[in-house]
Amino acid sequence: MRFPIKKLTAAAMTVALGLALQLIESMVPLPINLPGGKLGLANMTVLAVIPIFSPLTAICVSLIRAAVGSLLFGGGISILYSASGAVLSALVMTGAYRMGRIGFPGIGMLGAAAHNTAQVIVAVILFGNLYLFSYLSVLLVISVITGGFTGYAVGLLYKKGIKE
Amino acid sequence: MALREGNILKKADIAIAVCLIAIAVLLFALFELTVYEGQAESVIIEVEGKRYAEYKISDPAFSETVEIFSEKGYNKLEISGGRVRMTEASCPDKNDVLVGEISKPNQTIVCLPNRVFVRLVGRDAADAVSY
Repeated sequence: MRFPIKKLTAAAMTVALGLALQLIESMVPLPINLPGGKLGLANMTVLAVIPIFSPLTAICVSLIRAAVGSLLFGGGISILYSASGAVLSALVMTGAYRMGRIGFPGIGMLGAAAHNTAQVIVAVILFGNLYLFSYLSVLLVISVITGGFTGYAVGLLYKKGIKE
Repeated sequence: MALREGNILKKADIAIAVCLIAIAVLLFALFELTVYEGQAESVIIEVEGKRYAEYKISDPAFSETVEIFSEKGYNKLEISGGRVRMTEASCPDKNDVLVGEISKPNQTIVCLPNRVFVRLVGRDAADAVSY
């Protein structure tokens, strides 16, 4: 089997970039409240490569970034939350992109919403309490804001014509 | 598929934003109006999935400080006047402390890193949707 070196390198760079963004956003003392409410800057890297990579590659990039990020920056159980969120988010964003008509901000919002939803579902399963879904209310609103902004940023990237 | 033409923000994006917010509001209303009704009778503290402690809080004069020592860290829960809040936590984010106080049945305070789960239980204590 031949692995296209260029593609492999590009994917690895994307993961590295995502990790760097994750590190940076963890240093900002902004996180206001509630479990899982992050800026989600790493989503930008996944979103940026969705038009370029195949769906499987994009999802893998997202998953690996989340897994490594959890090992580096998070503790024990966080890998479950991050990985599930990252996979669903990448899946949803790829689907949204392929549907056409949805712009980058919208895809970003859906990605963020999917990420948070997956995390809440994991929490509900782990704690065995359906009422944890109430956290989703605030998380969804945050998703619209952060997802909208990161999506818009990626949109700007493409607008300026920077490829790869 | 080139999303490189036209406006960065498309009509569909606004629609998505509105829909997501609408879902959030509906969820909120659903929980506030149905599940969180009345006053809580007792508080149940679970650590690592196992019951750690339970207190009856229906008496407004009852007050207690609970120190929770778990494998992952430390949490401090304060009960007073039928209200419960986390005053200290060893986790980095302190999301559980930021939640503030809860007083209605089925409300929860969760510390994910320390695997601490605090929930209030209402009068039908045979209770909440747990499994």
